[in-house]
Amino acid sequence: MRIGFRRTLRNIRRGKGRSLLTVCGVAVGVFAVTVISGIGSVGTQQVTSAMVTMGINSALVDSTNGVALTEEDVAAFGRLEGVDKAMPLMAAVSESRLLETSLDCYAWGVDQDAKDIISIEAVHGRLISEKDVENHAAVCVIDEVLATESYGRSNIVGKKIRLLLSGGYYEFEIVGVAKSGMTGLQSMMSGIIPDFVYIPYSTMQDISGKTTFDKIALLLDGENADESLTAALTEKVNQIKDSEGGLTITNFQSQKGQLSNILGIITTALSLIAGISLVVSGITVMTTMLVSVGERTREIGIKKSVGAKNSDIMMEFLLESVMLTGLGSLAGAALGLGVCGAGCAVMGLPFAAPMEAVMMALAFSVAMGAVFGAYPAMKAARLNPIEALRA
Amino acid sequence: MIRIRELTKIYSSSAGQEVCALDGVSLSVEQGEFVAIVGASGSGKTTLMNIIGCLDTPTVGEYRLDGTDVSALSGAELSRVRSEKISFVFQGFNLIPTLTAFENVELPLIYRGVEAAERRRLSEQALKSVGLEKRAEHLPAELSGGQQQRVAIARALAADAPIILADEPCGNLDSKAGGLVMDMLHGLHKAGKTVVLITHDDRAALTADRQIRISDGRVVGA
Repeated sequence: MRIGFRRTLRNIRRGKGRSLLTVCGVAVGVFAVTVISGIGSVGTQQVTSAMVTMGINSALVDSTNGVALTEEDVAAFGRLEGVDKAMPLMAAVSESRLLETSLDCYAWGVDQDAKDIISIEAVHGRLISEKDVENHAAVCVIDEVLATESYGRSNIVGKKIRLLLSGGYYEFEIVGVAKSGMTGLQSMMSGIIPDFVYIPYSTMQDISGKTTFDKIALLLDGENADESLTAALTEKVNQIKDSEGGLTITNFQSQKGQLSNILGIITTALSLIAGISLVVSGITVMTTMLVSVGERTREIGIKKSVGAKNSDIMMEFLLESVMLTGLGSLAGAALGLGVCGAGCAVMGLPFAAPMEAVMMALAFSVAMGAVFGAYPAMKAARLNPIEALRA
Repeated sequence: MIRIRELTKIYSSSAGQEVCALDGVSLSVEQGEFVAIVGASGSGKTTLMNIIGCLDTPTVGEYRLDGTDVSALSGAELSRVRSEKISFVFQGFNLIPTLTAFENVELPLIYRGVEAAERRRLSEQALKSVGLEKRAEHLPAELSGGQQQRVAIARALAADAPIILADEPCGNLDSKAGGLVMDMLHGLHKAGKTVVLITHDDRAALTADRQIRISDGRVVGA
């Protein structure tokens, strides 16, 4: 590299307007890729953390053909190989009244294992205890979001809440406030995903008049919670209940995997589309360089007459186009990351810089500079010195 | 040093016609000589200079430079020969307009791979010997024609090639500036360089050791 960076920069500055436009073109392309993959990676993270909230090693036994699940089934399922714990799970769409606020919510009937199995965590107070289940107690644990929406603060342990269940309102004492794990997702989609309220399943049975459960939640052996375990368990639970496939098991782990896969594919596809803008800007680079070669024909002739080899001329022009794309992609990546960061800050989401995508965009655009600069550079290098001097 | 035998150069024009710019030229120039190649415009003298300067290759004929058969060399090898053996002083100065006087002088040294500190020393020295050390940071456009041509001579000096090819070096200059440039070429000759002056100006040609006259692509008098 005989002609250094300083002189190349000066050459770039000389074609000011043109170079600036080219750099902008590249910057826009890299910006698009950065922002799209940024949105993708933040989104993936949000969805993933939402899935984690639901219990990463949990699986849900669901009845599809009206097979009733009982306490004995819970005990039997809990003893199966690969299952750590089992818990009855009931669900009901409900409405909560706290002070003047009336909010849609989802009531879950759970037991003392809810902490492990569906990963709820108390920020204030406690969770549902074994005693609550035994006593059919009118106690509940509510989502933090629900507390703040009505009281403006999260610690409202000891307050009363009224829940609409099976057509009537029932009063519950709030014994705990649970952390809303899906923070980002939930706050973005509040109104779509309702807040959760957890009560002892025995209490819910009393209110609904049922003696059975809708679902049984399982905590799987962390190590082996894969598809094959799910399949084996599905077979076994159906055997126990003699239900001819009426019981299905949903494994959150594999769901999470599928979901992240889909998100990954979407992000990649969008990034590739954004990548097209990089190719377009590459063509701009080529145009700029061709014009530059045309303008500097005489200069090339002079350089050759003082002993520049074809390869020297070639390297000069290549360096110039790589610097154009390099500058552009740095600017675009910085801007894109800035916008992603600012967006996340505004929406209160944790910002995950898509460094991998940024690195790829940088590498790609520099490579693009070399590829699209190659033809003009070669053209410059091959100029006949006499004709170039005559220009 | 320069041995040319039966050299012919034919250009094919775009209309398909062939133009014979040089027709069986033979000449030789010894090391340390100051030779003038004289001829009217269109006589083929510029074509001859291009070939001597390794910017062009003959169609037929032999050109030996320091014993090397240059007519058989590839483009890259010609570049190397140019870089090592030949410096040009053109009628149009041929300085790069965006580079300062100093950077123009430095250019051949860059392509020869000389280190930065040494380049600086040689370039400054060369500019000083043409009396332009105070103009080192000026762009060519900020210099007079005579000064520009002196920068071009400084470039040749810095390159320190054994052969200087000067193509109408005073063609664009007034007589005073032209005289100064001629003096400098003679200075280079005295310093041991082989100087080949291409000109149509008999008066300038007569200051050379020897004149080679060219007309219609042939040597008509040596």
